[in-house]
Amino acid sequence: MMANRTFGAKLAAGFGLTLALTLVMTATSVLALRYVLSTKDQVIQSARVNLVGTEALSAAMESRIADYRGYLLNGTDEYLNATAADRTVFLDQVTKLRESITDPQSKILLDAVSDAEAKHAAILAPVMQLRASLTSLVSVTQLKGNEQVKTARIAVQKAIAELIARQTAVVDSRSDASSKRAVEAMIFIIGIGLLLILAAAGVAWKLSRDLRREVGAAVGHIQSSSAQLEAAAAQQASGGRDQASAMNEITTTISELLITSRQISDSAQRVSKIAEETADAARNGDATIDQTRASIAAIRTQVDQIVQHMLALGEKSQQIGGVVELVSELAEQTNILAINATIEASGAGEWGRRFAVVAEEIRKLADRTAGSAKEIRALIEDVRGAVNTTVMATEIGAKAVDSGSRKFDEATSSFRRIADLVSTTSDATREIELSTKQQTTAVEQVNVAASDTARVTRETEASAVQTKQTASHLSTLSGELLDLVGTGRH
Amino acid sequence: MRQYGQASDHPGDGTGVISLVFRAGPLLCALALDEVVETMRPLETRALAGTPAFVRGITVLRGVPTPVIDVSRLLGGGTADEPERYLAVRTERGAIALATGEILGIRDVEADATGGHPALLGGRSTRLVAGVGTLGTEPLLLLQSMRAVPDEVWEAAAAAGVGS
Repeated sequence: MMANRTFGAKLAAGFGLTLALTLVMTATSVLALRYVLSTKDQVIQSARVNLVGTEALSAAMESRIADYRGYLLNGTDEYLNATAADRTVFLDQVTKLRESITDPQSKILLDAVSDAEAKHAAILAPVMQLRASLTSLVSVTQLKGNEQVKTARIAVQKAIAELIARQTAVVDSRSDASSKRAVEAMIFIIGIGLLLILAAAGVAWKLSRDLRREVGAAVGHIQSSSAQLEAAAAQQASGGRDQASAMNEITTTISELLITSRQISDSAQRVSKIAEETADAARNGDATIDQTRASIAAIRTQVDQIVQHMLALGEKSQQIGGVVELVSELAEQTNILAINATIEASGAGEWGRRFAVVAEEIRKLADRTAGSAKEIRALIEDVRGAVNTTVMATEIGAKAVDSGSRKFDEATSSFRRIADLVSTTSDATREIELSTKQQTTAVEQVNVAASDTARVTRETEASAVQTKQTASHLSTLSGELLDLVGTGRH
Repeated sequence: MRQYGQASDHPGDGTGVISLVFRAGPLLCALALDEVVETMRPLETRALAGTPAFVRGITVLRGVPTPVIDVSRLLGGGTADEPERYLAVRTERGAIALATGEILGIRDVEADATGGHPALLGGRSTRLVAGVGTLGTEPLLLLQSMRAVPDEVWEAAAAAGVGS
């Protein structure tokens, strides 16, 4: 709870605690003294009132005994009055004692005294009356009841003696009790004193320990921080030196960069010029491309026409083939008929043989016709094959033209893209030129800033050296403070 | 007036016979002209069950069911090529059709008698080949058709004819 308080607060709390304990001790001492005092007062009261009163009771009794003995001897009223006054004194004293005595046994004894006195008075009264009737006393034997009076008197005296003894014992016991309480109060005060001393010692020890620990730790931290600060300052100083040399190098590099930037700017200008010329050339190329595309389209049309003509040629060949088939069929039929005619003619004698010769000639003609038709068929097949080959070749050519056209389109678009890119390049080159000029200006500014930075770095180095000296001094002071606090050097 | 399909009155003597020359597979064959009725393109032919391999089947010639004999198979030298021509030939039992290759024409064929060449004309062929001659550089078999068709074929053809 106290850990978070300031040291001043702890000091105030320690002194406050000590002061409070001192106040408590003073108060308890006063109370103890008052207590002892009241006890002693009670003892004195008991001795003064009760014991002395009891003694006074004894004295009054002795006085009455003497007085009524005088009366019994003399028979004068003086003694009679005196004994009556003595009894009154005795009874008043009994009444007083009854009020002041607190001890129960003493009260019983007081009652016993009172009873014995009453009995004594009762026994004494007839004897006193008997003496009053006697005008002269010759012998004690004249007075009857003297022995009872004596016995009663002794009983009263004995009771009073017992009361006195009891009161003496009570006073002694109270005196002992009072002394015992006084000793207890003394022990209590000594205990409180010891407690106070212990608390004060504890507070002092705690404050001392806290002082050593907290201030010591703080100063230790200051010392280590000073050492770190010193090291950091040394590092900063060496870093400042390195930085200064690096800044010099940077300045040199920036100067070279400046020269390079200017060269780049010149190159960019030249590139821009070349790009513009290239763009002009690309624009001139567009017309040539359009002409070439028209030529390709014309070739495509021509190839299509060739394909159409070739297909027509194929169809015509097919038609010729149909006719040739018919001729071939007719020739074959003629051949069969001629053979059959020959067969028929062979069984018809001489005329038949002559007819057979004619039929044979017809058969030969039919054979030749069939052969020619066969040749024509072969030729037509050749023509159709050639037409097919030509059509296929033309188709391939048409496809090649298409492909070439597409390639040319791609080449054209590539060419246009190149022209666009050249234009973009020209723009980019102009931007580069501009940017390089701006860069040159910026580099010049950076050069100035670098020079300033180099100067600041040198100043920083100087201040770092100073900081190092200050930190060293602070470290020494911390050590001394630690010695003062008692923690010692770490 | 002789009927279609009947045999001629004068049989050939084996020399200088006017014959119809035709191809049958790889062979060159001739048939005496008086045995031939007519030539024609191959007609629709139906196969006959239970007949030898050289019988292609049966066809209808001029309204008459006629067995068709493959000459190439009959002579044992041919394959089953499609015939180019049918020859209607007279036999003792009526006309038969011979399936042949190309018909070369009418020739006067000089052929030796078959007796002198048992090595060439032995076996079944002796019933078929009347003689052997040449045409140019090729051998030429002069055929006789009368006994070419086995009886079972005629029976089958007759049965088919009745059935149709």
